[in-house]
Amino acid sequence: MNKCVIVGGKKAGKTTLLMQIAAGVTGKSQLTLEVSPGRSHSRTESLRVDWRQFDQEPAETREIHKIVLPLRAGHSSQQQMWALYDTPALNDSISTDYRARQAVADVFRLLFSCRAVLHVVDVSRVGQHRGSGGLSEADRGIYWLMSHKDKWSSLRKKIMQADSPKDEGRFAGYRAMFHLFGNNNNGNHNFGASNPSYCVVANKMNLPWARVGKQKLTEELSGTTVLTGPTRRQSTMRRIRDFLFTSSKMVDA
Amino acid sequence: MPHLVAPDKVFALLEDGQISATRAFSLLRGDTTVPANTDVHNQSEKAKDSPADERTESASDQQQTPPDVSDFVWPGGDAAAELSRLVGLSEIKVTVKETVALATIQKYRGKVGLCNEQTVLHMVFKGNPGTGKTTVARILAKIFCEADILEQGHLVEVERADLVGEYIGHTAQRTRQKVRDALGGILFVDEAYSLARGGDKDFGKEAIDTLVKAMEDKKDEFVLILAGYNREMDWFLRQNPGLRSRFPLHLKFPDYSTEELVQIAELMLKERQYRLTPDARERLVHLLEASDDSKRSGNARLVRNILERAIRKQALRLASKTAISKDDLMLLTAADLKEKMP
Repeated sequence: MNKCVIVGGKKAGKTTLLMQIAAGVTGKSQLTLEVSPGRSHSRTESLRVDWRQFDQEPAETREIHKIVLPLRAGHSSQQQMWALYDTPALNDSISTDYRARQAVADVFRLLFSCRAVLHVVDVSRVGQHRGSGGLSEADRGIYWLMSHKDKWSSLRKKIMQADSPKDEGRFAGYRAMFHLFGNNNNGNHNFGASNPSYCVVANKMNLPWARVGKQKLTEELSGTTVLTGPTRRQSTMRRIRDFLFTSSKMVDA
Repeated sequence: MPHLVAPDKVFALLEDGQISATRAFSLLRGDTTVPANTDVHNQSEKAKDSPADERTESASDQQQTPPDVSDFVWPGGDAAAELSRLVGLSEIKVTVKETVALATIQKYRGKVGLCNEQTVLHMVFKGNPGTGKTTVARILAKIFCEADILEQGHLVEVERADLVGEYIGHTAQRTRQKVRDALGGILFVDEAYSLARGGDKDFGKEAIDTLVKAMEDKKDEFVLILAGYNREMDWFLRQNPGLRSRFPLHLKFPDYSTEELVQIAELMLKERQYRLTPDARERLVHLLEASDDSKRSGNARLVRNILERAIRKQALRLASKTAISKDDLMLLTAADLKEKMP
């Protein structure tokens, strides 16, 4: 099964995006989410997005939520199963709650192990910042990690091709790591074998300063695909689905 | 080169609360100065970026030195995360990590033409009931699968009744079938000592012989775990001297401490969307400490039973109230935990 993780800073709209995708695919108003994957626990969540709530304080996600959805390519009968992960915000605070810290560590694990990464950014906040800037350290970190995917691949290639006995010894541990991350039995593409497809979702486009923010975002994160996030009037389901399908077809480096 | 800090090391630092997410990104970028973090209270942390040339030097130094294998050969999948989430069992976790590392590296040694010793992964699990033997075995199967050591990573759990037949030849047939079911995964024989209890004429001996043969013939295709209580397993291995040497890994599952049992209780309750009041927590500690050794040996199961009982008590308490809030529905009070376990 393909895996996609939705990441971003605080109040960027990650959960709303997941709900939008899930509601768009299933047409249902409620779905069961797997909370903190790996543990036997699930709960049913409403998928209805109440846009009025955006004036209020949004809820804070403290655990990882997983949902498995069947996605179809356009009108074709081709279908793929995707596991989508909604995650807690990445920022510069350290929680006193061990479970919350575990969830943050799991977000990093997912960044390494998922086929696709959707990075959600609140562009209205970016737009309100004067001059350059407006992106959080965490946003820059995610972008950095994802934009170095080609270097991961070249490091892997170099290590896998080393043939002198000295190199063999030096790289044994790395080889094992790449082997493990790159060859699991679930068909997932992991660290080292290939790198995740990455795109930024410019979210909260209906708020003031969003257009300026999106412009700044495109300039700052050069070379990255920037999709417009869902708004009251417009769903981005199709573009996100296209992105996921393209990710699943990417060939290993 | 990009980051050469093992991602696993960064995950561990995050879990321990030593670094924030933004600091984690700095580490992955190559800034390897990890600040000791003594105060974990949602504090803001300003990442100190080392100069670019310093970063490059540090990265290239790491590339020159042979990496610490234990940092790298740990699969980062769901199963590994599941194991690290288990309360306590620190020694077990280390042994599992070492075993996976050894098996992987031996495989690589073989691939590059170096002599590699065959890694035998058959194990004996010893511990009181409720100490996590079956849970660890189930996770271990998945980890071995993620690490490409086992093909399927499933667990076939059997006991004496599943292996021992009713007439001559029947036992070998049944045992071989169970081994076949477990190929690509783990065969977990619970209360394995019971196979030797009936004496020489018992069919249990035939089951042991069949298992020993399968361990030799199909050593790369499945992992056999014999599990049982401490004293009984020691007796069992004394009865079959050949067996002890065939199991290089003996994992002892210790009883949980009171603090660990309380942690387990809190996890169980959180999963079911309940909470303990401070008084109830104290009461739980008291109940666990007051339980005698025989009950204490129930470990996590004892906790589960106490909580099940408390949840029933809470339901009874709430049923007599006229107005019930959401908090009422979630909170377990000291009164709910009042009675001792029968």
